[in-house]
Amino acid sequence: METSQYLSVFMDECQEHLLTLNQSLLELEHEPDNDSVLDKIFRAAHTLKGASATMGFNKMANLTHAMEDVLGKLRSKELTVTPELMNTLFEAVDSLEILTATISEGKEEDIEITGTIQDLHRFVSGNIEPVKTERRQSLQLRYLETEIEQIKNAVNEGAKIYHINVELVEDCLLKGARVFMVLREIEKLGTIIRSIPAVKDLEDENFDTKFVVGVLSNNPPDDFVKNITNIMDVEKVSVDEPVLNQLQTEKRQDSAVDHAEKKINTQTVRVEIKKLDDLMNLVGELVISRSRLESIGAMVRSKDLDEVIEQIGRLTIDLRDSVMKSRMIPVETVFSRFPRLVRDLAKELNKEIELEIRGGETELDRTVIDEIGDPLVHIIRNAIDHGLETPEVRERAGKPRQGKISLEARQEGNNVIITVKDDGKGFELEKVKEKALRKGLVTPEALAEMREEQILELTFLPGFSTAENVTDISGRGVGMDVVRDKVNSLGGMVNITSVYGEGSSISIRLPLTLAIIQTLVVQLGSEIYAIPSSYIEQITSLNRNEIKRIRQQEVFMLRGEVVPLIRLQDLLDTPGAKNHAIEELDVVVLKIGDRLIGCVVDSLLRQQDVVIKSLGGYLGAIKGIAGATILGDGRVALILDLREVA
Amino acid sequence: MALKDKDKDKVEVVEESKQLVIFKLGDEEFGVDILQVREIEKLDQPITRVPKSPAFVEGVINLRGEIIPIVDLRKRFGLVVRQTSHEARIIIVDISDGQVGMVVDSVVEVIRLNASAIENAPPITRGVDAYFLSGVAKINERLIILLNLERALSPEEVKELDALKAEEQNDQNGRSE
Repeated sequence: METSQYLSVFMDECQEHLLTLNQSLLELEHEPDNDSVLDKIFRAAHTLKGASATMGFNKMANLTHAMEDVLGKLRSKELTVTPELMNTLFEAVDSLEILTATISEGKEEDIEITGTIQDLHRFVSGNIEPVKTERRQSLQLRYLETEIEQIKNAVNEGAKIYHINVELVEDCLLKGARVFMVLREIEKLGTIIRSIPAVKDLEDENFDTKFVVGVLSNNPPDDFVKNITNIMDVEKVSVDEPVLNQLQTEKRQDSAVDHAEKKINTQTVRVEIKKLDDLMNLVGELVISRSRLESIGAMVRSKDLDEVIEQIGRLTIDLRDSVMKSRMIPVETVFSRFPRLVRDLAKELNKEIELEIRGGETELDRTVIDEIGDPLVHIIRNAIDHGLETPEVRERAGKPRQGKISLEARQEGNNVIITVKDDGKGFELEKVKEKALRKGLVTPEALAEMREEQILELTFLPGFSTAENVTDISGRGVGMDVVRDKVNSLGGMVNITSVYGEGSSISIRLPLTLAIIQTLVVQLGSEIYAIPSSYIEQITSLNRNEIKRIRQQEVFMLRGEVVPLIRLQDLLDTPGAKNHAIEELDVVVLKIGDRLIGCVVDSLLRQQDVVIKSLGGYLGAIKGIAGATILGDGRVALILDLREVA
Repeated sequence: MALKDKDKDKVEVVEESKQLVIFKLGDEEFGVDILQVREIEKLDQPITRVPKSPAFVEGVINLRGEIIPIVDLRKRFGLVVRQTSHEARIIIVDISDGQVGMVVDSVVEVIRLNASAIENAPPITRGVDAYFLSGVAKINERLIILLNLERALSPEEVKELDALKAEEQNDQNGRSE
C-alpha cells in the first residue's frame, strides 16, 4: 500500500498542530501558569509524535518526543517556564516547521536536528525511560465496572476470559486491515469486551505494533493462536487467562477528554482543494449554460420556459454561492503566523511592539489565502524594521515606548481589504522624491506634478530600494515591487498612505474569489471583450466635442478633473473599430491605483458574471489579458487587465 | 489459428509501423503521428483573436469548455496563405505546452507506414524548413512530409525564425534590386 495518499492529510494535520504550538507557546510565554494552555501544547506535540511515527518520519517523531518530555516535566511542575526554555521550545517548533516543509519535498533525512533535541534533553535532567515504561503499562487492559460485571456473569455460565496479545511485524503497512482481520477471527470464536488500544484507535492505525484484546469465549485458547497466526504480518500471538479478581478497572476522566475532542472533529470534513476546484469548474460550466439558455429563452418567448429559466438562474446563483463559500477560509489562518513573527523581530531589533489583530474571521478564497501570506510578511517586516523606532527614539519623540502595529481585515462588497498600520516614523516625502530622482525612476517635471499618494507609490517601483540600505531614508522599498506584483496577479491592488512622524498604512484590496468575476462586456469592431467590474469607476457617455487634446493625448473632464482618454483599439490592435465615427461615445472609466483613465469602446453590451479560464501554457502570459471566458453563445471573449497597459 | 494471426499482426504494428494522420496544406501532404492527435474538428466556429500573440496564432476557440489556441501552419511555415474552404479542419494535437489546434486545408486519410519508409528530410522540403520536420516518406509517387510537432508549434522559436525569415527577405530584396 502507498503511504503517500495519507501524506497530504498528514501535512495538513502538521500545519494545524504547528499553528497550535506557535500560538499556545506565545500564550504560555505571557501566562506561564496557565495549565490549560500547557495541556494544549502537550496534546499538539503528542499528536504530532504519534502521527509522524506512524508515517515513518523518525526525525520528527524523535523531536516531538523530546518536546513531549520537556512539556511533561512542565506539567508535573518539575520544570518552570523560563525564557531559555521558551526559546528552546520555539526553536524546536521552528525545526518542526522545517521538517514539515522538507517532508513535503521528500527529503526529511537532510535536516540536522540533534542539536535541538540535545537542548531539549538538557532541560530534562533525568533520562527518558519513564515514558517507555508508561507505554508498556498502558498495554494493560482495564475494564469498566459494568464490563467486569458482564465478565463475571459469563464466567459463571462456563465461559472463559482471555487476554490475547497480538504483535504485528515492524514494517506492516496495512495495519488497519490486519487488525480488522485479527478482530474478525477473534469474533468468530468469542465476544470482544475491550481492547487496548481501543478498537477505534486500532482501526485508525494509532498504535505501534502490539495490542491486547479481552475476549469472552467458550473455545480453548489454542484455537485463537492457530487462527490468528495464519493472518499475514502477524509476528506473535499469545493468550493469557487473567485471574478474575485481578482485572483492573479503568479511570474514567481521560476518556471523557478524548470524547469531547472527537465530537468537535466530526463537524468538519477535510476535502482536497482539487475536488473543490473541479466543483467550481462545473458550476462555471453551469453558469455558462444558463446564459445560453437565457438567450434561447429570449428567442422562443414562452412563459413556461421563462419561468424555468428564471428558477434555474436562481438555483445556479445559490449553488455558485455555496460552492464559493465552501472554498472560503478565515484570514485568521494567515494572521496567526504574525504574533510569532512580530515577537521574534521585536527581540532581534530591540524594539517594543504591540500587535493588534482584528477581523481574523473575515473569509477569503483558499487560493487567495495561500498566496497572500508572503506579501503580508514582507509588509509587516518592513513596518517593524524601517517604520517603528526604537523605544528610546520614541520616548524622545513623545510617543509611548511601545510601538503599535495593527493588522485588520474587513469585507467591503466583493472585496476584502487587509490593512497593516504602524505608528512609526512614516515616510519623509522629500527623501522619497530625492531618491526616486537619484535612481532615475522619475523625471523632475513628472515629479513636480505628482500628488502625495503618487509620490508614495514610487516606492513600489522595482529598483527603488534594492541597491542600498533603505533605513537611512525611512523608506520601505524593500521588495515592495514584489508585493505589488503578487497582489496584482491576484486581481488586487495595494495602496499606501503615510503621515511623516506619525506612521503609515498599507492596504491590500483583494477580490473575494478568483474563479468567477463580474465584468462589463463591451464590443469593439467585431470583437467582444470583458472588463472586470472591480476596477471600473463608472460608465459615462461623452460627446465628441467634449474631447480635448493635451500634447497629442486625448483627455476629457470628469468632475472637474482632467482624465486621459484611450481608444481601446489602439491598445489591442483591433481592426474595424467604429468609435472614431461615433458622435456620442461610450466611455468606461477605470480606476487604476488612484488614477482615472477613460476607455473608449464601440458599445457597451451588458454586465455579466464570467468564469475566468486561463489561456493556457502555450500562449503564456500576455500583457493586458487576464484570461478568457466563454460567452452564452459559446464564443470565447478575452478578459482584459488594463492596469499594466493603460 | 485466426487468433494467432491477429497476434502476429499486433506485434508487427508495435515494432515496425506507425499510424499517421495525413492532411493537406496547399498541394502538399503532411503527416503527424496519430498518437499525438486528440481530435479533428470542423472549422465552423469563430476564432477569437488574441492581441499581442505571435502572428501565426489565429486566436483561441472554445472546445467543449476548454480554451484551445489555434495555429495557422501556413503562416508558421511561411507558405502562401489562402482562403479556407469548407474542407478546412482543425487538428487538435497534444504537445508539451498543452493542446493546440492546427488549421489545415483538408484531412486526407489515416495511413500505416513502416518505420523503414521514413527518411531524413532535406534542408528545405517544398518550402518547409527541415527544422520543423521529423522526416519525409515516399509512398509510390506521393511525398509525405512528417512534422515534428514540438518544433513546428513551439511559440518560443518564433523570434529566431522570424529573424531568419526577415534576413532571407532582405537578401532576396537585395538581389532583386
